Amino acid sequence: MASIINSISFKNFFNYYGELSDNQYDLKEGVNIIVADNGGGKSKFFNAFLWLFNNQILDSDDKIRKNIKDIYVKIVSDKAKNETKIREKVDCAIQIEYTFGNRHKYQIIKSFTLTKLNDNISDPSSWQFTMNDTEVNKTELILTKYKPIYDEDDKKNIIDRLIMPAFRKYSFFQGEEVDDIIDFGEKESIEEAVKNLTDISKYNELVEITEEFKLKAEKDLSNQNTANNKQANDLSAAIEEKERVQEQLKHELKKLKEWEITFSDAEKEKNHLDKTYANADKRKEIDDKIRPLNRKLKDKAAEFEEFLDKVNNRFFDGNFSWIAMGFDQVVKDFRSLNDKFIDERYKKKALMDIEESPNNYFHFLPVNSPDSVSIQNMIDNEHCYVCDRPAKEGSHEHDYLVKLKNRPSSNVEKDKSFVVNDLKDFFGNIQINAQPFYSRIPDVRNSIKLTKEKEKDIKRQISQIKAKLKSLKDQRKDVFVAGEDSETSDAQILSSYQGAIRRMQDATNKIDDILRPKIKRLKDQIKNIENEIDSLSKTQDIPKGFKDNYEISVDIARATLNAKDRVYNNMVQLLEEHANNHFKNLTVNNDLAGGILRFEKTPSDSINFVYSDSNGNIVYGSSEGFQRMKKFSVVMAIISANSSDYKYPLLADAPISAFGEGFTEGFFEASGKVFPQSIVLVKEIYKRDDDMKINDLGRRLLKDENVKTMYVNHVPEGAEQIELVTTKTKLK
Amino acid sequence: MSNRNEILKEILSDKELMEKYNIKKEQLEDLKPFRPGSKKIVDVLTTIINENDNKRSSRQIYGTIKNLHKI
Repeated sequence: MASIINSISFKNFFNYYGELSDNQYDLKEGVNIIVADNGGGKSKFFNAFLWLFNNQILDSDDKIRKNIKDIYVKIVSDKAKNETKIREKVDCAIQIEYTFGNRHKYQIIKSFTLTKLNDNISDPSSWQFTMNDTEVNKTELILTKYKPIYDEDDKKNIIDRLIMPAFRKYSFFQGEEVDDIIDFGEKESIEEAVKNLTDISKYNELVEITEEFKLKAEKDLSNQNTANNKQANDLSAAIEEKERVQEQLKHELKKLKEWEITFSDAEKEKNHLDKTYANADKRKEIDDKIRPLNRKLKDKAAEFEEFLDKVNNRFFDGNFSWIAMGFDQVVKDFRSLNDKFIDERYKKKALMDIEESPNNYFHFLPVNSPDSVSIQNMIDNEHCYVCDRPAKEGSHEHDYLVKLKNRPSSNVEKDKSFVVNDLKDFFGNIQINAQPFYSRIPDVRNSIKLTKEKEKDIKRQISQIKAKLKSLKDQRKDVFVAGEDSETSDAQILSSYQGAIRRMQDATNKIDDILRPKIKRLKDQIKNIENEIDSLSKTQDIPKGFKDNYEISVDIARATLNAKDRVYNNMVQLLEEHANNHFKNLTVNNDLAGGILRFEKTPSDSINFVYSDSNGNIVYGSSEGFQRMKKFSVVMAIISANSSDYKYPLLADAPISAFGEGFTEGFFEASGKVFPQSIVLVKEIYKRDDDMKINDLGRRLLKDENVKTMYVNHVPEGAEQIELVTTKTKLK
Repeated sequence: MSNRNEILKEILSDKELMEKYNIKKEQLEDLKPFRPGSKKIVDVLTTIINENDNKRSSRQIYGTIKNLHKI
C-alpha cells in the first residue's frame, strides 16, 4: 500500500492567485511533471509541502527555511494583498488530497488569514496574522463526502503517513539537497541508510544479549562445580584462565576502539579537506567567471550613463534636433510672418528715407550741387542765388541752405533707426540658427525610435549580465553552504591534508597489523578454553540443563555476531548493486561513460564510497552532473534495495537542474521505476517560444506512458509584481 | 514471513551451528519452535528474539531460558 497524492491546490499562495479550485493540480500514480521557467512557481509548489510537513517556507531571498509566522507577508499573493481593502481579510491556503491503499482518501488543508490594517502591503505590521487550525478530512474512496478528523494525534498521523518522517529525506528534496542526503564525506550517511533499511539494530541488541547470556551461563556452570577433585580444579583453572584472557581481550578491544576513532577522525578531516579543496577549486572557477562579467557590467553601466547624457544633447544637437519635433507648421508660419515683417520693414524704411532725405529721392538740382563754397556764400549773404530770393537767418530758406551744406557725403544714412526695436536681425538669426533643426524635422521620429531601441538593447545587455552574475553568485553561495570559505592558506590545507592521511595510515597499520591479529589470537584462545571447559564440564556431575545452557549460549552468541556481520555486508553489497544499476540508467543517455560505484569497508568498519573506472582506477573530479547522479543513484538504491515496496511519493524540485538533457531523461525513466509516484518540478524542458512551451524532450516525455500528467506553468511576461499570477496548462 | 522469523533463520543458518545441531537447510524454511521434537537451540533463540522484541529485560529473558533448560 502506497500513498498517492491525488491533487494539490493553492489559494493566494505566492503567485498562485485565486481560489483553491482555480489552482488545482490533479496528479496520478506514476510520473507527474510540472514544467515552469524560472519564477514560474516551481519552488512555490514545493513550498506547499514544506508547509505541510514542517510549517516552514523557504525564503527565496536568503534561501533559509522560515516559520510561516515569520514570513507570512511574503507568502500571500501580492495581487490578492493589493486587492484587499483596509479592515478586510485575505486567506492563504494549501490543500492536498491523497489516497492510502484502495480504501481511504484524505484531505489536508493548511491556511492562515491576514487582516489588512493599512496600504503598505509588503510591511508585516500592515497585517494582522491569524493561523487557522489544520483541517484534516477523511472519506472512503467510494463515498464523495469528507468527514472531518478532530483528534490532533490522528491529524498528525494522517500527515505523517503521506511520507513518514524517517523517509522524507529520500523522498522529498529540493535541488542541491540531494547532495546533502548522501554526504560521502560523512561515512555515517550510508551506514544510517543501511540501519534504516535492515534490522541491523535488532541484531546489535541480540549480539549484546547473547554475549551477556553466555557469561551468565558460564557463571551458573561454575557455581555448580562444587566437587573437589582434580577435574574440578582443572575446570576452575580453565574458567579462571578464560576470565584472564577475556580481560586481555577487553583491553585490546578498547585499544582497537581508540585507534578506530583516531582513524575515523583522520578520515573525517581528510574528507572535509577534500571538500574544502574541491570547493576552493569550484569557487575559483566561479570567481574566474564572475570577474570579467563584473568588468563587463561596469563598462556597460558606463556606456549607459554616456548614452543617457547623449540623449539630453540630442535635443539641441543639430545632427538630431529632437527639440524641433512637431514644429513643421511653425516653420512655415514663421517664414510667412518673417516675409511679411521684412516687407513692412522695408516700406517703413523707405518712407523714412524719403522724409529724411527727399533730395535722395526727389532731385531738383543735380546731385551734390550747388557746391559747398557757393552754399557758404549764399548763407553768408542770406540770399539763395539758385532761385534768387532772400534767405534771412532764421527763415525756412536759410535753414534749408544750412541743411544742404551739412548734408552727408554718402547717399544713405545707415545707422539711423526707423523703428523703436529693429527685429530684422533677431528674426534673421532665428531663421539661420533654426535652419539645421528644421531641416531634420522629418528624421526626428525615426532617430528617437532608434535611440529607444538602443536604450532597450543596452538595458537588455545589462540585465543579461546581471542575471548571469546572480546565477554565478548563487552558485558560489551554494559552494559556501556546501563547504566553508576557509581563510586557511593552501599550504596549511596541504599540510593538514598530509597530516590526516599520515594519521589514517598509522591507524590502519596499528589496527590491521597489530591489534586485529592480536584480538584474533585472544579470541581463538578463548574458543579453545571454552571447548576445554565444555568437555571438562561434561565429565562433571553437573545437571545437564546447566551444561546445555552454557553450550547453547556460547554457540548462539557466536552465530548472532556472525549473522549481524553477514546481514550488514549483504545489504552493503545489495546497495552497491542497486546503486550501479540506477547509475547506469540515469546516465544511459549521456555520451560519456559513467564509472562504477563501490562501497568499501574501512579499517574503522565504516563504509567508504569509491567511484572508479572499469579498470578499478578511482575517478576524481567528474562533472557535477555525474556527481549528482552518483548520489541520486545511492538514494534510489536505498529505496529500491528495501525488500518491501517503497510506499511514498517522490517530491522533487529541480533535482537535475542544469545538468543537460541526458540526465533529465534518465532521471524520469529511473525515478518512475523506483517510486510509486513522482512529482517532479523542472525547467529543463521549458521552451518559451514553443506553442506548447516544451522542448523536444518534453514532447517525448509527453508520449511516454510512464508519464501520467504534465502541466506547464505560465506567468505574464514583464508584469508588475502586484499583477503576477501563475496560470497553468494541462498537457496530459 | 515476519522479521522475527527472518532473524531466527539468519542466525541459525550459520554453517557451524547447522552442522553441530544437525539442522537441515529445508528445516530452516519451516522452523517450528516449542513443538514436540523441536531443537532446544531453536527454542532458546526464538525466546531471545521474541522476548527482546517484547521489550522484556535481559534478566527476565534469561530466567525464561533457564526454565527451558529446567534449571
